[in-house]
Amino acid sequence: MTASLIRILPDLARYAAKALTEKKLRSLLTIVGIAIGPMALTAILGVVQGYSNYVINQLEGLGQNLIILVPSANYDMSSSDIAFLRDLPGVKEVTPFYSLRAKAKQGVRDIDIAIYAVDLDVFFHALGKLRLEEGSLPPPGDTASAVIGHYIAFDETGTRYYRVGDVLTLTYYSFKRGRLIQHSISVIVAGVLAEFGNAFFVNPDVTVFLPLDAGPKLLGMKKWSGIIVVADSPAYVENLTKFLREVYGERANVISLIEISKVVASITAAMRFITIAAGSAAFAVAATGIAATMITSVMERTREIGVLKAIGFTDAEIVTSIILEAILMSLLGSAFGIAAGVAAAYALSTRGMVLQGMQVVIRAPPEITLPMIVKTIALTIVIGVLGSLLPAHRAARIPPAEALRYE
Amino acid sequence: MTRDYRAVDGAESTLGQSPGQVPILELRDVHKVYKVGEVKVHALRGLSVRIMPGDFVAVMGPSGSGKSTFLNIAGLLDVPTRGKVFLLGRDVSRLNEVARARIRNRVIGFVFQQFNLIPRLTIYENIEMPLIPRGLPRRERKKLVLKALREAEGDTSWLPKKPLQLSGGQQQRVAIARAIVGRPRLILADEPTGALDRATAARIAALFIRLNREEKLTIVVVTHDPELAHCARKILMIRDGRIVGAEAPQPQRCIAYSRR
Repeated sequence: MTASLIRILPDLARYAAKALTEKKLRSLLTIVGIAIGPMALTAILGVVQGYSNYVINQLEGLGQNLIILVPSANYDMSSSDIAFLRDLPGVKEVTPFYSLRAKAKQGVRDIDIAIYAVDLDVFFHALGKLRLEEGSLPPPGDTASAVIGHYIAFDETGTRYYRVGDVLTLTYYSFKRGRLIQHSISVIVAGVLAEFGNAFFVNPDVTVFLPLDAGPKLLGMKKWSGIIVVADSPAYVENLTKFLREVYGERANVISLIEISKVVASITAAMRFITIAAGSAAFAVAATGIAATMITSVMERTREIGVLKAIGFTDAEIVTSIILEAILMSLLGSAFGIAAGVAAAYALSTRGMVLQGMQVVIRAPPEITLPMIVKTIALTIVIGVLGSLLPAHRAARIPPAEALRYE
Repeated sequence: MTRDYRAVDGAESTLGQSPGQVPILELRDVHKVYKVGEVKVHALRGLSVRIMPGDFVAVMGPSGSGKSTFLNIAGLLDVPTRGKVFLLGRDVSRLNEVARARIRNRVIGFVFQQFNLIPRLTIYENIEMPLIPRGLPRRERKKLVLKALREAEGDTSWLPKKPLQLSGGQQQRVAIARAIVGRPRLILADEPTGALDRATAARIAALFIRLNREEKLTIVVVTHDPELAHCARKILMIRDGRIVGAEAPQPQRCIAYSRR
């Protein structure tokens, strides 16, 4: 019996398709209703996944074995910290750094940049992705030479402002005895970095890197801004971070990029959960929409269903044709929904996500995968079947003799 | 009116048939009770009838006499409250829904007063419909559809049209083609001329006569229309849920002969 049902499935599907075309507007509206769930899921999940992959990639590119210690206002880091950190198991290198925000001229335009004075060999070794496009790293003693980020040497259109050997003037502010003082310093460009892409914490594209000694000598800074710890392997980072937090407590912030990527991953997971929860609401609405449409259509077709029974269709065959009708609507709905969702995802992602305070705009293409699409279609079909169960049951229960008299 | 009480007593209908042949359809002491709310309605009260192969029987009776209930039970669209139904000698009164659907599909063809064609399907698809549950290959279905349409005196130019593009008489021919497409043994027709004008009714009556004579189809027609009933080989009178008499039809009163 089931075998014969499968054999006549194509014919039942054809009949179901014809039934849909009878009330075109109603079918279309139901399909639009169905499409909202898959559209929302595809668009939001695609964008969230795209951003999340991007952020995690960036963080991992920035150095998975980095831990950064930033002292709080009432704690000064010194060489005893360096000695302590250097002796910890799993630690490969330790270097302090100075950092501040400054402005640089690009033609007539002022751009915001960051200055890092750090052990350049250690830093460039730890961030394997950093590449020099031109020039070379200045030697440790050459405190007036700098490696500059790609978007200091060039603007977005590719116009060049600085090349190796040029003098770059940097402006920054500091407080001395309660008064704001403007400083202007000049450095010689020793190297230009290849484009790195947007990043967190350190954005190399708009950073001027100076040798460590430039901190006190050129910038006049007495306190380290923090200490960079390079672990032997990313596997040690989590335990080291935990240990350092216990040791330093309130005195310093311990930041590891792996940890940030974990946080981002968990935020993404939460967002995905919320999206799916909200999406399920859309799916529930779709199921009731299908149920409402199909019940109306089954009632309108009571007589026709009576005729089908009279000419020898079994209840199972009639139920199948009703469910097929819903599946067809679900397929069309998910196709429209996913297409609209993909379009919406791309539209949303070109606007980018602005991270306030970090001066970073993330522009990442949405991540729309085949398994995601397959799952969405499958879910929509399940919803269609669920929505059509009641109407199909109704149709099967119609007694043929009465149905034939139905007006 | 001459009544053939002998036939009523035994509920025999042996016109031109050799005795001992298995009836196509037999109802034995069939009762049907409907519950309408609290009220019980006795639609059939011990109806017995035998329809032999090759018969063309008209069942006449006033409204509420149980004509439709009889046809529904005979056509396995409804089950009797009491009594037995035999189709081709087999007791079918207690079969399950699937088995009854299969028998309806293979043994019985229905013709209705309101034609009951499916409006969004083409004429071809309408006639093809009973062949769908059989899972026949497309080419075989097409052969059967064309044959049925020819036998029902339809025109192949109708095939791509929709039912509402045809006249009532044409639609009834299509409905008859649908009824005979699956090569059934028995045609059950419920007021087949009820929605047609007289001239068209005459042609439909002539078609039934021809299908009975040439295609050897057994036909049972339930009707109010004496001009159709007199086209049959036999007229059974139904009243209060029972067959109360039989009548030999007068061919000169048959609409097919009087109005051609």
